[in-house]
Amino acid sequence: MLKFAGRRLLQFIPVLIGATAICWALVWALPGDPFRGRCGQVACSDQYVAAMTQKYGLDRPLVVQYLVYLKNLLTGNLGQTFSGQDISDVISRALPVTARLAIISIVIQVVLAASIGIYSGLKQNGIVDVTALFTSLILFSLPIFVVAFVAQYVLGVKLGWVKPTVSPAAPTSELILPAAVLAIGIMATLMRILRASVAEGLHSDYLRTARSKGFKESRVVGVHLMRNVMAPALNVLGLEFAALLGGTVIVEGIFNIKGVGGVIYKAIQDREQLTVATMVTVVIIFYLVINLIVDIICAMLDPRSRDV
Amino acid sequence: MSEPLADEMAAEVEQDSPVHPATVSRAEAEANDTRSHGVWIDAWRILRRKPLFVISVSVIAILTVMAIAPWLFASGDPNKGDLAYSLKPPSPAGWFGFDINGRNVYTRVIYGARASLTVGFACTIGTALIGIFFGSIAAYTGGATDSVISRIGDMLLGIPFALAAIIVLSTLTTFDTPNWQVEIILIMTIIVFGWPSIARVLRSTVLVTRNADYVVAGQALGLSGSRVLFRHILPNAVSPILVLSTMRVGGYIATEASLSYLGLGLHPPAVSWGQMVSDGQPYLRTAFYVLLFPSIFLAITILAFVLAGEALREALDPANRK
Repeated sequence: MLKFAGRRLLQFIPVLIGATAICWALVWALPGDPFRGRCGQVACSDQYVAAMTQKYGLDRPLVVQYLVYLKNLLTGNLGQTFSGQDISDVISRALPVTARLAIISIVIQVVLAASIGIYSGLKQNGIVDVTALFTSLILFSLPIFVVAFVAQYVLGVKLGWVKPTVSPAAPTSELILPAAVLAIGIMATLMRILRASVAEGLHSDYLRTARSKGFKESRVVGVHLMRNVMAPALNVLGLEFAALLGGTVIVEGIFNIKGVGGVIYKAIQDREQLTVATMVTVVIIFYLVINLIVDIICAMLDPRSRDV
Repeated sequence: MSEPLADEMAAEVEQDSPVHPATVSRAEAEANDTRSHGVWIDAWRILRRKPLFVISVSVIAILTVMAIAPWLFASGDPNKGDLAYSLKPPSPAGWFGFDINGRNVYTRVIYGARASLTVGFACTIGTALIGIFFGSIAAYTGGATDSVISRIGDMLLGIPFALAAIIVLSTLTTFDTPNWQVEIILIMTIIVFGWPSIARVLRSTVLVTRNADYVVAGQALGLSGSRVLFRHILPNAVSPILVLSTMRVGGYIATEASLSYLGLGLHPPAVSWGQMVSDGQPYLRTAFYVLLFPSIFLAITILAFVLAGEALREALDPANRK
């Protein structure tokens, strides 16, 4: 087990460096001088542009910039946005909001997908199973921005059950609707993988063995079956995190949430390369670490997956 | 991170029984050929009787014709607007109503099919070809090549896809970029960040079949590496890739729509559903039809591909065959 975790960790390091380097290269290829348009109505003087370029080290080769950036990142110095705010401040304001949004969304997904998915796996081709399959496929087919709009309009504007947009403090109650919207598209995959693994597990030897040992049915399903069903579901959940993080850019925009997705989108528009690079790096690290943890949990649940 | 995605897992389930039984001699190889045709014919027989598959494939066919020859379905220029008709509700003159510039929503929805389907098909074919290429090389050569390809794939998959697309598109395109260039950049981005998942499925399939008796026998007989790969190993990997790809088409179409919605995809005079939804957003309360109809078309298109993929997966699953 330790050997597996160690090997995973070793593989994780080059992937992390590579992914952040790719992201860095993409961000710094953004066209346009970030400083030219910063002086309001008048054109910026060349001296100002030169001074700012030097201050942020943009005159150095890209590779050097990346290494300096990595060094700063490791020492916890995230730098400043081009308008002089500390990027760490920007992150500490945006990240908790997005993290809460993501957690609420995952709770909604897991509760709904697990109850419906497991039930329809146990009672295949029943009414619940067929209805759930169709509903989830239809919801899966709706682009997230359409779902977000309709939900905002119907629940927020027409019926007035929730506030259409989220207030700056982003209380948890107001985040439920955006989180549910985020959950809808992703939930279908989780539900289907749970249904498939439950259905497969029901005919397995280990389940027959457990039954023949005389365990109660609740223990057979609740412990023996669930242990085997959890690994694939966890994997999907880890990988779907990418879709969740991407979806936040759109959902945060529509519901006016001041989170990471919104900050990244606005920073791209404003040519705030350093902010974009840092925020995206934070997101990538977050995503990779979650998947590393998922891998390790899966290896604990299912020893066979350690050899892969 | 080495575990496949959900749909890949579903796709992988059905590789358990080799489609291609062991062969050595030419005669046997031919006999075997008819059997591997048999699998597809079996699948076709199952699919033909599935109403959902027939309906979704018909929808895809109609949409394809719509994309190739939109003038068959709607007369008039999708960009011609008459301000007298601004935000007019559906009527015999315009079945789906008119947008803020008085353009016919029905005509625009029909012309919008092209952008979505082009992205959907091009990305699917591109990711499949590149994924198959690198996946089979990784699995067949093994060793350092395998590690390098697999780690590069991990790196690309480590970047959340939507974020990557947003960054690339805002990096490489401006409002002046011609639409065909935007479209090519969009397709290339999806392919670059999308091939690793196909490569992963292919790699694991090939690893399973690589040590199968018939492959070892082929090698023992002195068949060249490429012949073993193309004639004996790859045919087994086709069905999971086919299923996975069909299910992915909808995802690519949704991505194009989302990016156009964010203002990063196609821009006027090109017509795309995502852009129409984005344009219709401010008039949701006064003229919901401007937003409703492109959304419905988008959802139906994605649903058709998902259902077709689903039916294909069931039909190709050995567990469902007698």
